[in-house]
Order: sequence, then structure tokens, then C-alpha cells
Amino acid sequence: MFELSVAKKYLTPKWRQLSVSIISIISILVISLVVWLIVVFFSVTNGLEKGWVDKLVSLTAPIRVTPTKEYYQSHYYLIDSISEASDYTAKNIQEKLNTVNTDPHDPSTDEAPPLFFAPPLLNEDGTLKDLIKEAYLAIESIKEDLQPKSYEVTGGNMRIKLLRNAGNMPTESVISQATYFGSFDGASPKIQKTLLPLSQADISHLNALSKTRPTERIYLPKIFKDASVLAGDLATLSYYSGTMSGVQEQQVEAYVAGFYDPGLIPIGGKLVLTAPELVSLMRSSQQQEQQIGSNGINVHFESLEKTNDIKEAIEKNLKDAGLNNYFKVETYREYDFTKDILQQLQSDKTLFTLISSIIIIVACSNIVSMLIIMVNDKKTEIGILRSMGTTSFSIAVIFGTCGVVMGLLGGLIGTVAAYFTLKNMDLLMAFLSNLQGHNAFNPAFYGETLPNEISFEALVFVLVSTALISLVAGIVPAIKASCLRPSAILKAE
Amino acid sequence: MNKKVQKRQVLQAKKIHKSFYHPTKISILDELDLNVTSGEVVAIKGRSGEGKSTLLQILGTLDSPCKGELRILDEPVTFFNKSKIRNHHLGFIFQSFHLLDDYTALENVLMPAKIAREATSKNSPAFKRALALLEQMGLLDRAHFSTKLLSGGEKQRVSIARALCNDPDIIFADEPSGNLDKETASIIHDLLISFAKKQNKSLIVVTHDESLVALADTQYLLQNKALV
Repeated sequence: MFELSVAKKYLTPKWRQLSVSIISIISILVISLVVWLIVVFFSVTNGLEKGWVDKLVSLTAPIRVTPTKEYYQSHYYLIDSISEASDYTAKNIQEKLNTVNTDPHDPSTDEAPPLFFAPPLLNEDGTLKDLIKEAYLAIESIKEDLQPKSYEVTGGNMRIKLLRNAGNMPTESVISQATYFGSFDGASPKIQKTLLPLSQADISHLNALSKTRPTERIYLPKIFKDASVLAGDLATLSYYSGTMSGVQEQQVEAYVAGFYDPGLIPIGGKLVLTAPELVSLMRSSQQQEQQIGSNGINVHFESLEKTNDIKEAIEKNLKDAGLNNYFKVETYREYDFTKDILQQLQSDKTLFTLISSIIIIVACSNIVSMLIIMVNDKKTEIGILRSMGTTSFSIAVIFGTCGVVMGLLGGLIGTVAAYFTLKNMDLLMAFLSNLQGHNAFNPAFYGETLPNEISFEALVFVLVSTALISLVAGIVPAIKASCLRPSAILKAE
Repeated sequence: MNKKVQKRQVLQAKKIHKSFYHPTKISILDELDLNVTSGEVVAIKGRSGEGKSTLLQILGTLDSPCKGELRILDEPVTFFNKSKIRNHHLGFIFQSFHLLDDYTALENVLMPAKIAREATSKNSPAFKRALALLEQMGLLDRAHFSTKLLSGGEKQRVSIARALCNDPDIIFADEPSGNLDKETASIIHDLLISFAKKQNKSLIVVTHDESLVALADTQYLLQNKALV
């Protein structure tokens, strides 16, 4: 193409046009620097966010369906508490799912439902509508290979005994703290991703206690590993259970089976994972059945990009089944315990996007000055080309192309530099840490290494915006060039 | 039949008026008429500052008249078709050659073809044509020379070859030998005139050089804003 061939000639640095060449090189380098900064920043933050979200959804799920206040006030939920067949005890979601007897109430032996019970929700045949089974059906009917699984969370205390042999002197210390207990789903492949590998010391310690260790297992957040807890250490889990005469402390012996990385969950440092049956026992003993969010359905699936679509589909199915008042559907971005930090991260990214857009505009404004100098420098050539029949539009395209090519070249150099920076992120971290005298990035938040994968979104953003801004920057000089009158130029020569 | 075609009007300028307004209004051309037929060699002479170059640029569509009508090959010249007319039907030769410095002689000759979006790769018709033109100008061995390395006479010959690249109907020459010594100027004149005659091209030349004026079919003197 004629315009490209001329633009290429103009962009090739020449000794004869040293000032233009130097300004061009500086403009390209400034753009490269900005692109490098943006790509590195967004790649690291996107990587961190992805890592945090991965851990979050591994411990929880991309979508959670939780019963609402209406559910806990429904006839369906409350009826167990007055039915002999249910041992006069309310059922959790898993129990409701497993039971074959949707309506355990026997009017001949059980007392009549009190007036504060909501009227029963009935099927067309007059039987009691099974809210939990229908909710599962609403989830499973979506063709996305969804895996709903109930979860429970409760509170209690944990006391870990650290027995060590320092030389020949046995020592004993204790860690005791209030703790959240959550269900550990060992069968989930996702949760395996958050489990940390056991060290040699962990394995030795675990083997040493193999004959005496209790049956219950607990998985601790990695902060305990840093506090010298080893796999195999014994722990006492305690919770309070109401009796006829008062409140009694119940204790369960367990051992530390491993550690996991809680990511960005704010309660992550206090969330202990253990067997679902034990969590269920603790929760029901402490009469926390109606505590919103302590029991729900985790909906697992592979592709996080589909989260919003799947949420909408579940909500639609629940609505069609008449259950939308009884269940709330939330994505991982809406969970109470992560919403704030993810929103803050998103706000930071938006702010940096705005700042980086302004920096790109400033960097690309160099192109305007450079192209105006170039237009003045090439005035005679413009006149000659016009005399041979080149249109004003072609002249504008030539200088517009110069602007875009410079922007893209800067973008390309910046991208390559960002790629190498990300590949050597460990070296950069070590350098910054040495410079500051302490860890530049706290491993508790950022992990042992920063993400080093180039972010595709960042790359697209920066290259498209650079090309667009360069094009806009090239418009003024291009118009100036196209408006030059060949007669005036050639006469002046 | 051929004779009829040869004598068709290629350029018609009617009542051309041109004034400059800065710093004060000066009228350069007024009610100027000119008709040029194909194959005709027209020489325009006049004193310096009389407006010869301005007239040539108006006739060559590089400048616009304030009033008047210009038709090239019976087509009225407008803002929209100027570039196309220049590229397809006109060729320019300037006193200071106006070659593109960053290109070789051959690339300069090929430039009008490139602008016309013709293929200019090796063995393409345009490429062969450009080489043939350089050969006719005696510059085949200089084809790949940077124009910076050529002498004045060689540069002007490259400029003539470039003007002829797209086989134009009218060639405009503004003091084509103004920067050359007498001997080289004579060679350039012969080349220009013989080429125009041989190819049946119209040539409009603005010059002070009486020897070139003498070779023209029609001679005009630009005086008092009109051709006489």
C-alpha cells in the first residue's frame, strides 16, 4: 500500500533528521514505559485476584444458595420440631435432602402446628412441597454440570497441645482460641488445591502419633503452620450444648491432619475445617439452626466466567418453582465475608485504569509534537506527492499511520519488557525486599511468589487504548499535513 | 481520423482570474484564456514576477483560480477530481527538480504509478515502463542510485521520466533548465520537445530561455495579467 510504504520511509530514523528521530525514539520509549507499568500492574493484580478467587471458591463455591428468613419460618422447616418422627428436632439441609418423609407430622400423635407457623406450601396433589429437594432439582436441571453440596459453619473453641522434644527436654505449650468450624469435603478436587503439602517434619510427627491419634481430623489455616503447629498435633474442640438444667461444655478430641491456604477470606485465620457430621452436631447442639448463612448449598462448577449466567438460571428456576422467597442466590463476589475486599480490589483497578489512561494520553501527546515537527520537515515532499496526484486523504493517512505505528511499537516494546519483568518477578521481589530491608510483599496476603502470567485483558486494554489514543494524536498533524497547499509549498521552494 | 484525435483540445482555460490578498491585494491574472491541443508545445515567457509560475500551477491544478473555468480533457476541474486528474493526465517538471530525496531514481520514477495503486514490483508493467523511461533518458545505469548522488542534469532527466511515468496527456514544465548549464539545458530541451512530439503529448513550458521558446509550436508572452 502506497501510504504504508511512505509512512515506513518517514519512520525510519535518519542522521539527516536527527531531531525528529530523537523525539520519535523518546516518544516510543515513554509509551513503552507506560505500557510496561500497566501490563505488569494489571497482570499482578489480576493474577492475585484470580488466585484469591480460586482459593475462595475452592473453600466455598462460585455460587451459594442459602435459606432465607422465610424458609426458617416456613411450615416445611418448623414442622420437624413438633413431630415425633423427626425426634422433635429441626433438620439441616442435608438431613432434609436425605429424608424420605417430607411431612413427618402425624396429627394423631403430634400436637397441632401452632398459629405462628406459616401456612404449609402444598403441591397440586395436596402433599407438602419439599423445598430443599425442589431447590436441588432447580439447580441440577441447569445443563452446566452443576454439583450442589450442602455446607455448615458453626463456632466453638479449639485448644491445640504442642508436645515437642527440644534435645532431651520434652516441652508442652498450648494454643487456644475461639474458632469457626466449617465442613471439609475431602472428595472435592477443588479443595485439594488449597491444601498445602506436608513437610518432612509434619510427616514424621504424624507417623509418631499414628497409634494414639483420635478419629476426628482437622485442617488448619496456614497461619497455624507458621505458629509451629505440626500435622499430628492433638487438639480439643469444644462447644456448648443446652441441657435441661443449663449449658454444658462438650469436647471432641481431634488431630491436625493438614493445613490449607485460606486466601483472602477475612475469617480465614480462624476457620478450621473438619468432618461435616461433626460441624452439623456442633451447630445443632448450639441451636444455631436458624442463623442465616450457617447452612446452605454450595454450587460447584468449572467455568467461573459463567457465574452470573448460572446465578440467573438458578434464580429463574427457583422462581418458576415458587421458591424464590425461600432461598437467596449469591455469587462469590457477593458473599458477606468477601464482598468488601473484592469490591475494594475492583475499585483500585478501576482507579488505576483511569490513572493509566491519563498516563497513556500524556505519553501519546508526545506523538502530536513529533508528528507536527515531521509534517514541517516533510513539507516539500508533501508538495511533491500532491503534485503527482496524492490526495489530501492519503497524506492524512500517511501521518495518521505514523502515529499509530509509533503507539503500537511503544506498546510492543512495553509488552515484551513486561513479559520479561513478569518472568523474573522473583528477582524483582528479592531486589525490592533487599532495598526495603523487609518483605516487599507480605506472603500472608500475596503468597510466596507474585503471579507472573501476563494478563490477556491488560494486554488487550493497553494495546487497543494505545493504538486509539495514538490515532487520535495523529489526527491533528494529519489534518495539518493534508491541508497544506502544494502550490504554496512548491513555490516557496 | 487519427489527425482529428491528435488535434483534440486537452486544456481549456476561460477567463482565469487570480489575485493575492496578503499583505495587500494584488491581481496577477485577469480574464486569461488559453486553449491547448494535444501534441502542442506551448511556451509561456514573461518577466519575473509577472505570474508565469502561478499560471502554470493553476493550469496544472496545483492552485485554484479566484474566478474562471478550467477544463482538462473536457472535464471541469473541481476540488474533488483534482488529485485524480493530476495523477492520470498531468506530469510536472520543476526548476529545482523536486525529487524525493529518500528514494532512488527508479523509485522516484515509479512514484506516480504507486500513487495510482498500480503494482510496482519487479517485472510489473509499471516497473518495466519506468526502466524504459530511464533508459530513454540515458539513466539506466543510475536507476538504483539515490537521487542525492545525481548531478543536476541527471536529476532533471529523472524528473522528466517521472513526469512521463503515468503516460500523461499534458506535461507542465516550470523553468526546466533554470538550474542547469547551457549545454545540459540544451540536452534537456531536446529531450523534452522530442519526447512530447514523438508521444503526441502536450507540453506547456514556462521559461525565460529563448532557445526553448523558439522550439515551441505556440509562444505566449504573459504581460499585464494576460497572454499575448
